[in-house]
Amino acid sequence: MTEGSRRKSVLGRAIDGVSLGAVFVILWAGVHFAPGLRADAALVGSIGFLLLAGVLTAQVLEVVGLPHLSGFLLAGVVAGPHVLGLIAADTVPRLKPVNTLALALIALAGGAELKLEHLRRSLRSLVAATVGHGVVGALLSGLVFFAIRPFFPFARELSLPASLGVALLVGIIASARSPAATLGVLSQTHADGPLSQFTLAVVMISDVVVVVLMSLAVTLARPLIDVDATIGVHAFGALGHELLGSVSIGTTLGLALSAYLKLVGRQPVVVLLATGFGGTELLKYLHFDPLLAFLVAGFVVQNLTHQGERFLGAISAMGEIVYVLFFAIAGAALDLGLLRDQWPFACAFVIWRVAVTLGVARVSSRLAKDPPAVVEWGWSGLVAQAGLSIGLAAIMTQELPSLAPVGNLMLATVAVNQVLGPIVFKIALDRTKESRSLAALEDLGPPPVRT
Amino acid sequence: MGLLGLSYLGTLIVGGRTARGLPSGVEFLGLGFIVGPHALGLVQREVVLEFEPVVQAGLGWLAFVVGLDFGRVGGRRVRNGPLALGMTAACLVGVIVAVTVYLALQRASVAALDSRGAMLLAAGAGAVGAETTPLAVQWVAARWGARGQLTDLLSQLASADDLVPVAASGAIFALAPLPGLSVQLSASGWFLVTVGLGAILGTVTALLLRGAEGYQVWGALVGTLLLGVGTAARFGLSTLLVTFVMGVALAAVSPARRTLRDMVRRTERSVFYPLLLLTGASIDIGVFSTHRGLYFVVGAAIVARVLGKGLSSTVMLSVSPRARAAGGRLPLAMLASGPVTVCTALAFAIRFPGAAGSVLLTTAATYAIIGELVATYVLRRILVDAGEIEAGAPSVGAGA
Repeated sequence: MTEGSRRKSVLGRAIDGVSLGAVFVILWAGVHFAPGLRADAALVGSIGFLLLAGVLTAQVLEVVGLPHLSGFLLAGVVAGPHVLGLIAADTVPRLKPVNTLALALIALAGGAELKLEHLRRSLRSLVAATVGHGVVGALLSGLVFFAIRPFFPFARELSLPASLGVALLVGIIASARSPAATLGVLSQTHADGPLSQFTLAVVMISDVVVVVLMSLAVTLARPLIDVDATIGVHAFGALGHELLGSVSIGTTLGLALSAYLKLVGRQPVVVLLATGFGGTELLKYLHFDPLLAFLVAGFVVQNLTHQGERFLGAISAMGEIVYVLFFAIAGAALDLGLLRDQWPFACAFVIWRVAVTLGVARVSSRLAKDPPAVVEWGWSGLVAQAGLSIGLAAIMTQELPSLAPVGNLMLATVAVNQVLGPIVFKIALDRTKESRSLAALEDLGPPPVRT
Repeated sequence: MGLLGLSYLGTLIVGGRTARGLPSGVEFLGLGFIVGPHALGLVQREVVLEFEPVVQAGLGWLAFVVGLDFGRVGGRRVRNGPLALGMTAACLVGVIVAVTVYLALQRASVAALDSRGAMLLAAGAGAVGAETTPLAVQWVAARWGARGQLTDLLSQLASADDLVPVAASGAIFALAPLPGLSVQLSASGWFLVTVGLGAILGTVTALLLRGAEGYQVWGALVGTLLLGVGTAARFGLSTLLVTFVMGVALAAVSPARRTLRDMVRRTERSVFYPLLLLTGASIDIGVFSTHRGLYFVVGAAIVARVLGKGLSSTVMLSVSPRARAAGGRLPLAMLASGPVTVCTALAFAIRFPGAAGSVLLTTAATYAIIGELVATYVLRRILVDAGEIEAGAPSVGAGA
């Protein structure tokens, strides 16, 4: 809990609830009395509503100890096209620029949170976890899919090689984590300690690993699924170009950002906005991976220059607002219809994925001789999935259109993990006493409005 | 990206300093026009249209900042006398301009405007021409170190009149709600809805800010503002009035009003300059070549504004002994135009696209240029003669 909200009385909570109701009524009145009018106005109103409803729902849910991210998601789900319909289905895709900015900031922040000193210190632990979750975990998840494929209607007809190809892709997508959820929960709890540091590092590294593995897996799976397709050397060449290019551009960007902070330092918000929007578009145009490039840029600023803390401060100034919108939009975009159709399979897959994550985490932590908090709770921050997994599922169906039903299953699984993951991680941080907000709140003064 | 780049350069050059750049920001307006679709064409019309949601949000934010600070100058409350005088003067100017423009339109008989369009243009011109920007007084004061009773009074009068164009936009928009709404109300009903929406959102924001910290503060501020802007625009109501009232209500209810003012004031220029660029890019002078009578209309609006300022200044001089130190040059000093003028014109242009909107944008730009050429110089001379600026005082440059 935040300090101010922890002090809120029952009356304060009631006022929050009433305010939330007022906000819903205002948006409802707009949708009900001016239907289909002024799409731009609907877009502006929707962003405002998601921001406000996200913040308010988070405060209301805080009473029961749920993380803020759950509140942001819930606000989006309830207002979204599948429940109240206050955010129209055609408005959701128009909110995409917010996600572009959010992902860029998340990657920059994620890279900047990775400190070389810490990485060196816990190298063994990180290698064990990355190999464990990225390779062993992915293989186990894929194997399970392969074994139980007769229960999936769309998988029954697949040939043996095609099933192997699909299992490979499913395994990779299952091994994707959510940097956004990790940073969001850490940002709320201000947690610091072995578990939070371990989770952050593993999630960020696995982000890169999964992007690489997915590119390889698509290349390998294509000829297994499509008998007319072949493996071309050029595919690996393109992958190498993408990876090396992204790292190079990320390094250059990081040095440029650092030089700017040192020499000019003014208007960092405008610079970050330009970097987020413009950089993403430019990198996509050049066929580089924006996520990897921004991650490297953040890492370079933190570890190769002296501007790391200043950089993180600039990102966090706007990052938290962006998290609210990112997750509220993700909530509005959750396809509940798909989840309703696929829920038995999705739930089964979620349970299996959590079991694999837990098992691999315990084994890899014991091998690496991690601290007890990591051994016990190391798996908790690796449950959440969000934008990256959705992106990977989209890549899969884009490259192999016949796998659309598998993509839908993955999306339904991600939907469950998106809700479940932050809750589990926050519980773990609270239990291990790494949440700073739970500690030493006794002697706080009256809460002012702070920025 | 271009917009971000240009606004960044602008804020880098001008910074947060009062005395840098020009008080009305007309240089950004000019730059927007030059790169816009009607001059060099570096920014296409489609791009300008695509920015409409951003513009709506920006307009709302500026009106919110003005509302939050309404009735205060430099952190001090404006007394009732100057407040009433400033508003009365603005009303007088607005009515004179509106009536003159309407009569000019009757005479010019512009084919692009039917009787409703003529009424809207006349009323809009009145709203756009009513105010005098306090930024001009602040700019002169910061640049030449002006200090004294007359400087204070002029600043207070200029601040007090911000309400008039914003409220006028609310009333005019309420007269013309969007077709297709599933609820019908009278104009006064829509006006009350506009004010009520702002008041509710301002109160909700104040409630949410109790004990808020970090992202919750900005989340509550930006969230309520965007919700207000989106809802008002959906019904075709004035986003300016909604967010202005929201600012006033928040300042009235929230104990953290001072902190909030400091917070949002820092953002004012970062929002205003991109808006000016887009306003410049939106100015369509093509409508004047097809309807030459509109030149006459704009000319009439300018003359009427000068006359209106003359009449209102006469009232000021007769009512306020402190104002007499300004002498007969006061009307020229009160010609200064700034953010409220441009934002009101832009709000009209978005709500009523076409000839009326284009003429209003052009008129507002002309007001700003004239104010820049005349008012700033005259203001300085007045304050020198009043002994509030030392004769021959060097320009401070960096300002406050």
